[in-house]
Amino acid sequence: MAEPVFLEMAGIRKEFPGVVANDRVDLRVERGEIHGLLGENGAGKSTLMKILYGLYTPDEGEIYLDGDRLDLDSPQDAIDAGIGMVHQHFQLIPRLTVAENVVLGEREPATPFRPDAESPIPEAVRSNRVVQSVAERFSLGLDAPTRRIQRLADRYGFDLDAGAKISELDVGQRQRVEILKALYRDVDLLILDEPTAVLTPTEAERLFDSLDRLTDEGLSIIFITHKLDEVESIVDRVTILREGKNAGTAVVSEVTQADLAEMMVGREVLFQIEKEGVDLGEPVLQLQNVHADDDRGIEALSGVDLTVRAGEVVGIAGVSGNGQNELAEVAAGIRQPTTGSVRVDGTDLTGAAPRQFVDSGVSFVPEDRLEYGCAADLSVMHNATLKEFRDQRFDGPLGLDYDELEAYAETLVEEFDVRGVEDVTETKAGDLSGGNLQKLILARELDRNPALLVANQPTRGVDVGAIEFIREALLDQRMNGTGIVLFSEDLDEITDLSDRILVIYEGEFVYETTPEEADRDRIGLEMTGGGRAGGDQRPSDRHADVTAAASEGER
Amino acid sequence: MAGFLAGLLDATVAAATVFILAGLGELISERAGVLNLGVEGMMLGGALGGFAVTVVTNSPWIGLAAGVLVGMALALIHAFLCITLKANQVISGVMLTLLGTGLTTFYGSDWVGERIDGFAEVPVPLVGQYLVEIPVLGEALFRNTPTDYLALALVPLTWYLLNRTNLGLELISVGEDPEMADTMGVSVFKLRYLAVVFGGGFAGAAGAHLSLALVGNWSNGMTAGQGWIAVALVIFAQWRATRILLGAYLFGMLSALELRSQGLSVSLGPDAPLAGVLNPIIEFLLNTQIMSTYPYLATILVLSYAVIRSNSDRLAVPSALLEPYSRETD
Amino acid sequence: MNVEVDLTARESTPRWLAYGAPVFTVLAALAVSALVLLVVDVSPVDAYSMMFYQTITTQIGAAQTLITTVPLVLAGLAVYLPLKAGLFNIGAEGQLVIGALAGTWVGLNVSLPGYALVPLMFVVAGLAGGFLAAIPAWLRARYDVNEIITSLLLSFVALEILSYVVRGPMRGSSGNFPQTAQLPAAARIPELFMRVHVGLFVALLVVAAVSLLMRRSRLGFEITFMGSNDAAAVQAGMSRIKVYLLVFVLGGAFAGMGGISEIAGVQGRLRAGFEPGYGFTAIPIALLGRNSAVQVLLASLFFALLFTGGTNMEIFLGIPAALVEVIQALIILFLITGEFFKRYRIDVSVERGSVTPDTAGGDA
Repeated sequence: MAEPVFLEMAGIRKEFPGVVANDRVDLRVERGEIHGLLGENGAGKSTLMKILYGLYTPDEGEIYLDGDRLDLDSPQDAIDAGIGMVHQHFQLIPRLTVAENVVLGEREPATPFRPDAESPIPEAVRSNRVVQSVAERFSLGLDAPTRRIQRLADRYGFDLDAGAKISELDVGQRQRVEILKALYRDVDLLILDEPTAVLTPTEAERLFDSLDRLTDEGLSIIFITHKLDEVESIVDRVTILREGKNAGTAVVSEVTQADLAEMMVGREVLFQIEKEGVDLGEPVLQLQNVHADDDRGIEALSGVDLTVRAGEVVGIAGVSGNGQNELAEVAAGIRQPTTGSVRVDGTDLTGAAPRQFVDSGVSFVPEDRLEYGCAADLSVMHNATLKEFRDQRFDGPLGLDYDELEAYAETLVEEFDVRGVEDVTETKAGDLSGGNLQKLILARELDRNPALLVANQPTRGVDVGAIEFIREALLDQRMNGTGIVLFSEDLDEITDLSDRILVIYEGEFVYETTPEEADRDRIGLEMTGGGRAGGDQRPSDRHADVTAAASEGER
Repeated sequence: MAGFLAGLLDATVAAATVFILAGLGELISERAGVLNLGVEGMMLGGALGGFAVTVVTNSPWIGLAAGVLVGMALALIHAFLCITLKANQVISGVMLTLLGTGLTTFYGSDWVGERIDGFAEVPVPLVGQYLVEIPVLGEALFRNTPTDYLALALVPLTWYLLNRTNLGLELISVGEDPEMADTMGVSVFKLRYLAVVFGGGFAGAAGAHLSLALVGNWSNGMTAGQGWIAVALVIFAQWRATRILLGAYLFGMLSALELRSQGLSVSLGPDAPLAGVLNPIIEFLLNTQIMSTYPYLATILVLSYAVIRSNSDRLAVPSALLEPYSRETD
Repeated sequence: MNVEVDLTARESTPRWLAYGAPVFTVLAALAVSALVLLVVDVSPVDAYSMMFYQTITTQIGAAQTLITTVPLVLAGLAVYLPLKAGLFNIGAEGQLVIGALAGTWVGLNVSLPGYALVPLMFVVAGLAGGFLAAIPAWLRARYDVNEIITSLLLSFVALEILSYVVRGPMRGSSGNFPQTAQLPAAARIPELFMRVHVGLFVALLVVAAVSLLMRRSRLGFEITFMGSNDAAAVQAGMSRIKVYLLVFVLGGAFAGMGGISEIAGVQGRLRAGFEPGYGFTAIPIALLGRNSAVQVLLASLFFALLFTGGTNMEIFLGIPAALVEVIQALIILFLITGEFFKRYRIDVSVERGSVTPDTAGGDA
C-alpha cells in the first residue's frame, strides 16, 4: 500500500431537510500543499469544511488524518486533532485584545502556576491536579502567551501587536489574528474560507506570501474559493465540487481556467457579452463636489463629480473601502452628503429623504443582499413589491390590494426566472439561494424602469449561471434608457459592461478611461494610488479598511 | 445637621447593599449575554425564603443561605427557558417577576407579622470599635451588618473574576460572541447557566439582606421596585463592576433621602431672590415620590448619553445580550 | 445504555401544533397550578369550576370579564403594534397609568356636557399615553437607544408620578386616602348593561382599526417590512422615525385610552394602584395574540377571565388572588415552552451497546 495521504475525507454525505449538501464527496490533501476547494455558491464547499471542522456531523463517510480515523463532534475535537479554520466572518471579539482572543479557551493559568515558569510555589503544589484546575479557572496569565503569539506573528511576517485591541485592527490584520489562533494551537491543517473576499489586492498578495511560508514549514492548507485566478496563482492542486458532488480533482498547472470553469458549472461558460451602442440621453445623475462621511464620521468621499446620462453605464473600479459604498449610498439617497449637490433626472435632491429618490426613479441594488436588499423572513411577494407597493395600481378598497401584489410578484418571478419559489406568499426570501435572491432583487429594481440604477457589486457571491443572466439584464435595461452606475471589484465585469470607467481611490476619482482604451495595468496602478504624481504610495487607505472591518467583525 | 448627615450616610450604606448585591448578580448574568428582568421576583423569593428559614432555625446565616438558594432556583427557571429553550429573555424575565411576586404573596401571608433578630450591626473587626467614633462617617463606614461587608467584598471579587481569570474571559466571550466561544471550546450553555444561576444567588442574597438585616420582618412585595432599580443600575454602571459600587451608593443615598425627606425642609429664606418661585420647585423636587423617579430618569439619561456620545466599544453593552445560541442553525 | 437527545429545527410547524399550542399551554399551566392549590388544601376541581365555569355562566361574572377585557385589549395592542415593527414596548403599564391620570384631570377640571367631555378625556388620555410612548420610540429611531429598557423604566416613572399626584396636587378633599375626588356624572362613560360600559365598543373599534391597518393598508405593509428588516425598509424609502413613532404613539395612545376607560367607566376616581398591572399582563397577551389583532382580543378575554375568576376564588374560597399572578406566570412559562416545540423537534434515541436503533421519530 502506498503511503497514506495526509488528509482523507471519504464518501462524505450530509443531508439537510430538503437538500443533499454533500453526496459521497471525497477529498484528499497532501502534506505541505495548498489545496483549492472550488465550486459555485451552494456547491457544498462550506458544508464539507464545517464537517471537517466538527461543526456538522456527517450522515455517512469517514475522515482520516495521517492515517488515523477522526471522530469530530465539535470544533474542539478538530483543533485537538490539528485542524484549524478561518471563517469568512471573523470570529473575534472586538473589545478584547489580540492575545485574549488567541488564548480564549486555552485556560492559560497565571505565571506562578505555569509548569515552565520560575515560581515561588513549590513544584509539588504546582503540579497538583486540583491546584492546576483551580488556577486554570480562577487566574489568567497572559505574559507568556503574549510572548509566544508575538514570536509567531513575527516569524510569519504578520506585523501585529499582540497587546492591541481587535477593534483597532484593519481587516487584513484581523484575518492574521484568526490564523494566529490556529497556529497557537499547533495545527497541521488550516482551512481558509474565501479568505480574499474581504482583502484588498495588496493584502491578498501579502496573505499569499504568508501562506507560502506556512506550507514551507509543512503545514497543509485548504483554500476555499470561487475565483479562478486565485486558484491559478496560489493553489497546487484543486478539488472541484458541483451540486454537492465531486466534479474532479486537478493539478492546477496542468489545466486552464476554462477547464476549471467548465468542471465547476458543468457546461461551457461564455464570459463574452455583446454590447450594442445606444444614443446617450439627458443626465439622470449629477453629483457635484460631493463630500460624505462613513458610519464612523470619517470623511469617505472627498469631492466627487459624476454625471451619468440616460442609457450610459458608468463603471466604478476601485479597491474595496475607498468610498464606493458611501458613493453608492449617496447616489441612492440613503446617505446624506456633508457638502455638494445631488441632482436626479434634473431635479435637485440634495438632502432629500430616501423616499424622494425612490419616487424620482432611482433603483438600488445594495452590496449586501441580506442586510439591505431584502427581508429574509418575509415572503417573496413582500420583497418583490417593496419598491412598487405605493403605486396606485395596487389601490384596493381599503388601501392596498394584496391580490394584485401577489399577481405582480408572480410575473416578476416568471420573467426573471427566479427559481425555488413555490408560492410567492409562502416562500420566504431568505429560503432562496444567493443567485435567485439577487435575481428577485434585480427584478424588483429593474421592472419599474428606473431613470437611474445604482448597482453595487451586483454579481458578488452569485453562481456563474446567474452572473450571466444579471449582466444581460443590466445591458437590456441600458437599452431602455436607464443610466447605470456599476460598482464592481471584478475588472472584467467593469470593462465588459461599461461605457465609461472611473477609478476611485481614497474617496476621489483619480482616473477616467473607456473600455476600448482601457489598460488593465494602468487601472490596477490607479486603484492602489500608484498613479498619483509624486508616487504617494501608501499601501491602502487605513481608515477605509477599518470601516469595512467594523461591518465584518461586529455583526 | 451633623446628626442628620450621619444618619443619612448610615442609611445609605445599608440601602446600597441591596443594589450592590442585586446589581452585581445582574451584571454577571448580562455579561454572559442573558438579561434577567426577574430580579424583583428573585429578590422577593430570597427575602421570604431567608426570613422563613431564619424564623425556623433562628440563624440569619442559614436564612441567608436559604435566600441565596431560592434566588438560584428561580434563576434556574429563567436559565432553562432562555438558554435551553431559547425563549425571549424579556418575556421570560417578566414572567419570573410575576412568578416570584405571586408565589411570595401566596405563601408569604403566613409569615407576615413574625419577628426575628436578624443580622445585627457589628463594627469592623480589630480597628472598628475605635473608628466608629469618627464623627459623621464612623457609624456609616465601620459599624454595619455582615451582609454589608459581604456586598463590599464581592465588588472586587466580581471584578477580579470577570477581568483577571480564564473563567471571566470565557464568560465575557460567551456574552460577546457565543458562536466564536463555542468554536474555541468554551461551553456556551454551561457558562450561561452558571452566570444566570449565580446572578440569581446574588439577587436572592439582596432579598435576604432586605428582610434579615435592613427591615427585620417580611411583608408582601417588600422589595417595592428595588429589583428594577438594580436592572437600571447595571446600565447606569455601563456593565462595569466598579461603577456598580458607585451607582449603588448614589441610588442608595436617594432612597435613604426619600425616607428622610419629610423631616427635611430645605427652602430659601423669604428674602432670598426668587424664593417665591424656587421654593415650590425645591419642594417638588424633594418630594418622596418624585425622588423615587430619579434612579430611573438618571439611567435613561446615562444610557442615552452613552449611546449618543460614544461608540459601542466604550459603551460595553455585551454584544450578544438577548441573543439565544444554538448550533447548526445557519 | 446511552440516551441521546437530538434537536432539529423544524422546517414548518405542523398544523395541529400551530393551533393546538395555545390550548396545551393553558392546560399545562392550569395543571401545574393545580399542584399549588393542592398544597394549600383546596380542591383544584372546585377552584377551577369557580374560576372559569361559574364566572362565565353567571351574568355578573361574564359582565365583569367583559369590563376587564377593555383595558387589557387596549394595553395588549400597545405591545402588539410595536412588536409588528420589530420593537418591544414593555412600558404599556406606564402609558396606561399616565393616560388615566391625564384623562381624570380633564374629567375633574373641565366642565362640558358628557357627550363632549368623555371623548375629550379619551383624546387627552390617548395623547398622554402616546407622548410617554414617543420618548423611547424617538430615542430608538434617532439614536438607537434600546427601547425595551427605556419604555420599562418610564413605566416606573409614571407609577411614581401617579403616586405623587394622588397624594399631592390631585388629592380629593374627602378623607386622607391617596385618591382623587369622584368624577362628576358628565365625566363617566355611559353604561350599556350590568356595569359594562361603552368603552367596550371603543376597544372593539380599535381592534378592527388595527386589524385593517395591518392587513389592508400601505402603512401596515411598511410596519411589517420595517419589523423584518429595517435597513432594507429604509433603503426602499420608508422612514424609521415615522414607523417607530407611529407604532409606539398609536400603541401608547391605546394604552392611555385603556387607562381612562378603567377610571371613567369602572372606578370613578383615580387612586394609586388602581389596577393590578394590566400593562404588564399586556406582554403575554401580545405574545399569545401576535398573529393578529383579533387574536389579541381573544387573549385579552382569556386573561380577563383569569382576573375575574381569581377575584371570585378569593371571595368564595379564600384563595389569595396572588394565585392569578402565579397562573399568569405559568401560562407565559408554558407559552415559551410551546414556542420551542413549534420551532424544534426533539428526537430521543436510546442506544444499547453497539446496536443503534433508528432514530425515534415522532413529534415530541
